[in-house]
Amino acid sequence: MYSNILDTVKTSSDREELLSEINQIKTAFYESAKNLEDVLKSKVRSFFAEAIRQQIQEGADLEKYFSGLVKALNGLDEVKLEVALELTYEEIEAISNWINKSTGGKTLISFDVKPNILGGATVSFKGKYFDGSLLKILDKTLEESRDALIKQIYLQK
Amino acid sequence: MINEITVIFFAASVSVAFLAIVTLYVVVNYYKTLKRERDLEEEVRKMRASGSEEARKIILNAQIQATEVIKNAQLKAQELINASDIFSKEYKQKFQLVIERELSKILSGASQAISSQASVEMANLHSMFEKNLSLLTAQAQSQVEEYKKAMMGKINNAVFAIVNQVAKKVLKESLDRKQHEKLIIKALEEAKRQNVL
Repeated sequence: MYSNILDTVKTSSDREELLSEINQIKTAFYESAKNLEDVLKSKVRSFFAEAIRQQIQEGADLEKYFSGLVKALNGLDEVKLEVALELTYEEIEAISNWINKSTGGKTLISFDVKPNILGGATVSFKGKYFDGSLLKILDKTLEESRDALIKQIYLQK
Repeated sequence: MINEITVIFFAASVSVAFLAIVTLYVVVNYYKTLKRERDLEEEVRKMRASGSEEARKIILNAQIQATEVIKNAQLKAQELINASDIFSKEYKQKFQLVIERELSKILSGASQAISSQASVEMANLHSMFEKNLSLLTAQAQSQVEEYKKAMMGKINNAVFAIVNQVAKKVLKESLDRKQHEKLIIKALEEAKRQNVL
């Protein structure tokens, strides 16, 4: 029922945005039909506005629909990623697909941009943590080859 | 009136008579004392004359005795001088030879003892010096090595820090978006492998 909507939600920000839109629609819906259409036109993204219109045409119980949608959104798992740069929508989609495929369910991603990690990502999920940043890999690699590196530098002199 | 004059005259006569007696007594005593003084002076003069004579005799005797003593002393001295001359002539050479020989022996012995002692002391000093020198050299070498090690450690740390910084900068600048995405997926794969996901 909500899959087409939930498919559009990849990140925690997407969820927050959608919840905000639901609140605006609910408010307008209780005021008047005219207000609802105004809100659907001006305050809600088109794909979601279209989905609401479809529900109205099908005579669905909107209150129940929104309640179920909010519950579904709040029930989604969330993986926190620290990355080195702001990602594009395509990149986020690719990562989200990989995670959903990997976890076998719908999982949101919360991104935090930390340029100092250079690349890769740190992953926090359900109280567990993994540092897969390029910074850690580089530090580890350099530390392991420290003596050889210094020796090489002196030989080059 | 007449009686008063008589009494006064009589009193005056008695007084004059008394003064005349007193004066006479004083004069007589004065002459006695004067005479006594003269006698004493004469006696002193006599005694002085007698003392001078006695002293002159004593001095004369003393001079005679002194002359005798000097004469005797001169004789003894002459005897000693003569004996000394005889000793010098007869034994001087032998005495000198003996003295020289004994001195030579003593000096030779002392020289050998000193030389031997000095050799031992020198050997001890040499040994001690070598020991101390070795110890000091070892300590100095150890300190130099420690310092060298510490400085090399600091240099290596600095070099390593530079390498680290350069590597980060190069990596940061050389990664494109596709590579970033791949690295993120790789991190997620590793997280899954470690059961984080």
